[in-house]
Amino acid sequence: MIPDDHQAAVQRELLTLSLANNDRNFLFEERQAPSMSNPGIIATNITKKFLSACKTLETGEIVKDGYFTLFEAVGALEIGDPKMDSGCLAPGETLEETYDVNRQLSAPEVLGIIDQLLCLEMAWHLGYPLAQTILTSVYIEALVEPAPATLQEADFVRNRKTPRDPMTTVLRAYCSGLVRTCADVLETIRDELYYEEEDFVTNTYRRNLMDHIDRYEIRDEILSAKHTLHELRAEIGTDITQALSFRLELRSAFLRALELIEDRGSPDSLQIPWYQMHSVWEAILKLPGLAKEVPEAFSTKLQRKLASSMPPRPIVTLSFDEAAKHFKKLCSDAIDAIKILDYHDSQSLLNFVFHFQAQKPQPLVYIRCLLQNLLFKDMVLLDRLSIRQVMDDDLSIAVMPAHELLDPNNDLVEAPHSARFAIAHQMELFRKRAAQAYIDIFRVLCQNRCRVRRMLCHLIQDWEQVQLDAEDIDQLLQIQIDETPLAYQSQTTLTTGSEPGYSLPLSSWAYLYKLRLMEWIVQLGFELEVYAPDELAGMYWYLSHLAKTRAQHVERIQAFTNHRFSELRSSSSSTSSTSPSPSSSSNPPPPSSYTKPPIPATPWIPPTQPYHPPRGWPVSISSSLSDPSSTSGAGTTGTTTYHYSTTPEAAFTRSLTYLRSTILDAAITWEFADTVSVIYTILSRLGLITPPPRPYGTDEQRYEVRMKPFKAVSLPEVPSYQTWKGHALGIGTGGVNAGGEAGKREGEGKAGGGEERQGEEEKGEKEGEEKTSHLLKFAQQAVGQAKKAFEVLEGLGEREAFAAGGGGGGLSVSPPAPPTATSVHPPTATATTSGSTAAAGGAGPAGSGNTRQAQQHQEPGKGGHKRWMENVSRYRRSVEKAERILKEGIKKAVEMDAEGRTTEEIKQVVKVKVPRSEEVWEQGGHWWWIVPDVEVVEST
Amino acid sequence: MSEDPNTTFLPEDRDDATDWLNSLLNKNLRVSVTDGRMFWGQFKCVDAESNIILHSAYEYRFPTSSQVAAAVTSSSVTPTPTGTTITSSSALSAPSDSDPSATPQEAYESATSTSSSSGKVKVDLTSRHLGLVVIPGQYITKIELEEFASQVRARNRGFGQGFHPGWRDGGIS
Repeated sequence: MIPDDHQAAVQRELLTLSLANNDRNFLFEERQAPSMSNPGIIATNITKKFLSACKTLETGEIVKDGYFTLFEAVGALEIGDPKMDSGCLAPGETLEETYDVNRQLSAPEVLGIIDQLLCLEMAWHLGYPLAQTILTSVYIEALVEPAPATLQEADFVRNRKTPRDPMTTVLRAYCSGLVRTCADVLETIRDELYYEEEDFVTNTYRRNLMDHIDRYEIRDEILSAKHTLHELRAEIGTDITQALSFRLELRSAFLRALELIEDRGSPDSLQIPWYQMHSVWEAILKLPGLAKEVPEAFSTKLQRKLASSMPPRPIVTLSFDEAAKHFKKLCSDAIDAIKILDYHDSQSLLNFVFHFQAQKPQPLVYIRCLLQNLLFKDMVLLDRLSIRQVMDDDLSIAVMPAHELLDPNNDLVEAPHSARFAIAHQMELFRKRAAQAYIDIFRVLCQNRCRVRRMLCHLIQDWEQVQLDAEDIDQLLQIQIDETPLAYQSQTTLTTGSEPGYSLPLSSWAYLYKLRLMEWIVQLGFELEVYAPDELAGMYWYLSHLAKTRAQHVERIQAFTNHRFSELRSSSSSTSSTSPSPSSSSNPPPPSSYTKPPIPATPWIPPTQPYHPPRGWPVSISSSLSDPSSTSGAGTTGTTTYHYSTTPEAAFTRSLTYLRSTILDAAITWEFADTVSVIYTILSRLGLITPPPRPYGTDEQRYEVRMKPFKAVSLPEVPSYQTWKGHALGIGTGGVNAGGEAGKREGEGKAGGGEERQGEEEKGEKEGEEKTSHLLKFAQQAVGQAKKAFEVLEGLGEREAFAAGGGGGGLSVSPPAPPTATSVHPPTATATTSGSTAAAGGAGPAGSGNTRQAQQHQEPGKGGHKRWMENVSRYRRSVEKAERILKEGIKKAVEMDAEGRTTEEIKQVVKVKVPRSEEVWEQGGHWWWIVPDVEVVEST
Repeated sequence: MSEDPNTTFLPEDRDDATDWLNSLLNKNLRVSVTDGRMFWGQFKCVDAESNIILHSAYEYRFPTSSQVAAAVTSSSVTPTPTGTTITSSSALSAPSDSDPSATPQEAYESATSTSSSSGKVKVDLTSRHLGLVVIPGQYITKIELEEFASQVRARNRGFGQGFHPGWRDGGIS
């Protein structure tokens, strides 16, 4: 038996066994290093024996644990290698930092340290690790290590015997505020989706960032530091006192801002501290040149003490002006982001997120995570809406306004035989099925741009699946609805020549989203410069193909909606006062009054129906919207009648408005995409854009790669390589419209998608290659159409554009555009400080900005719509540029080609350059539209 | 096979040497290197040039003379709290048979000895987690094997079969 003391020793030993051997978790796991002085453990020196044993091994022979692979060994840190081993000291180097944190600091020095810390903090926000930023500060290190239990304990020198120097008090208050804000920022980011080391480094190297200390206490500390400071005013000078107290205020406001976000007050109150910070920055920048730098207070040596295998890396240097710029952008973006809480409808919400994230430069990762936090915290959207509410709202806008499927009263039916019980059940199934994919759209848009594209590629597959499932549910539901006599089998006339079909609202909805996401993927490809210049012709053609498909699909939805609306109206007029009952409850989206549809199943399509695919409808859009006095087909005008769709009419009007704006958007996209595609076709045909030599692949292989994201999608089918190539080469691209039909087309307004497409396919093959001059004509017409459609688009109010709501957004314009960058355009927040309207300044270099500016002046302050307008104006500049080069450079080149000049000769006169997407942005254009620079240089 | 830690293997004892090295696998080693640091971790792999791979390794750095001096002046009143502390009597001075090659260590030991003259002083041994490390043989100055006291005792009483079977067989049977 083992004696008692022995047993106790064994137990002690068991306790000291290191349990966690999993290295992967070490970053986030607090583990104590094993003690070296445990009495239960005896260390025996085996140096000689070990080394001699090793010597007996032959070169190349190893002794290793069977479960240890050499592959793992590659990841091992090599001790003694200064590039890998952060603890490695050069000869004569000391580990100790010699800086004395207790030394007397002058006011300019404190200011210098604070400014440096501000720069480092912004560098951290920009994605550098803490180790290279604020943890290089000797003061911060002294403050947080060892971790203070209370704020009183947190000081540069612990157990201080002499009272603190006033300047040190100021610095200490500032530093504790800084550390605490970092802890909060970190927590917000960690809770949301972001990419570690790609967007942000959350590693704290096991430094405690004082997150257990109350923000109030720290703010009190900062306040008292401000008092201390003001007592010294006479001594150190007014300016520097002010400069210092501004910085303290900044910190205090930041803490307050984070506190409010955690507590979730009203949206307005959330914004206040951000406004404060923004104006404090203005004040700070008015007092430059007072600081005295203290470079010795920052050292890379401190990194050696951090729990990191990273060798010391240089301190990230960001100039103060740069940091200030980023910080101000952070504040204004935060103000804008908070406006998301002002919810109007699901489409405005989507547009808000879309356009907010499409800014350039993109908002910092903290802001993006903040947006996610505001959107989804605890799966409550915007703090007050369930996912169901938003989804139902979206369904009601897009496909089924005032539809009985969305009647919330269905849930109250308990009789299992009732159709409504079944409907409620099926709808719930559908919601469960689609919710994730729907929410993911928002989540994905909050990522960095490259990720957005990548994740969208995955997301369309989810939507594909949702669409398939929705088809099943649709079929079940249409049976249920059939039982309540709502006839859907009357659609023959709606789509020319097609079989009677059901409305299939749920799968239509899913398909609509899928198409939109696909367009985004292609367009993000332009933004991110995925495609080579010689591929642009084909890719723009594909974009136009997608946009046309979307337009056709929306037309289909629109036809059904119109049909239902006319049924509703005819029934309400026949039953006079009974129908759109004013008694409807306050459930906003689906009016509960719409329960018994007494629909006589006669298909009635008004003869003037503007929604027939081939022709005419865009005209109706332009006429109805550009001239607000004329009534659109829906019978309702004005923009203010449908703030909330409390009545079926309002719901229908809202939905039809949405559908119209979507078609308009799709029309612009395809017309303009056609234009750009043809421009590139012409240029490559004339030899002005030549593909680089590519010995290791064929165009077909490249096409496969480009289309890979779309391969998984069954509908719309990916066009065959031959089709694609044919369009890219301009075989039949302009077939329909460029030649004989050119004049006719003018009269038609905008050609419908179906016609154009059919024409392409049929004639394209017959006629073979179009004449270049015909292509030119076609492009000129297309750009003209795009421009016309723009004028309509610009006239849309915020409701019509679905850009309602506080912060931003835009219409369902699939080519959304980043609102103007800070440099170009003062962000909205400037209004807070100076009261100046941000709109005026940057609005538009383009000559045609006049109407647009007028628009902006009419509706200032509405963040959402403003951002949307900015987007449209960028878009418009791109269109105008295309128009210009078609009139000048390309026309010239085509003429020269017709005269029989050689490519070389044309190159002498016409200079072509394909800009980078950033250049497009800087020129004021939209970077989803890479319009080439074509200039005519008069050769001598 | 002898259990004397000071025995050395001759080239012809190759099989014994390999067996012995194999028996050390997954045990905790303390490896000191020329710049004075010590690494603690699970022994995973070694080659002919005694490049050692340790898993879940921690780095320990001995207090500098200034830290020791500070400890002597201040900590006479307040003993350091928990954590990795080292007393002059334990771990580091325990291997009394320290080999002469450990020159950098001597600096430390002299430092501790000065402090120990004024009584027992505890000084923080700073440590860091590193994970998987490879220690090139050229830097190694000392290798120590950690065992539980019970193992050593059991072996000394003649129970066990040495290092191989692990402490359970040696200690409890």
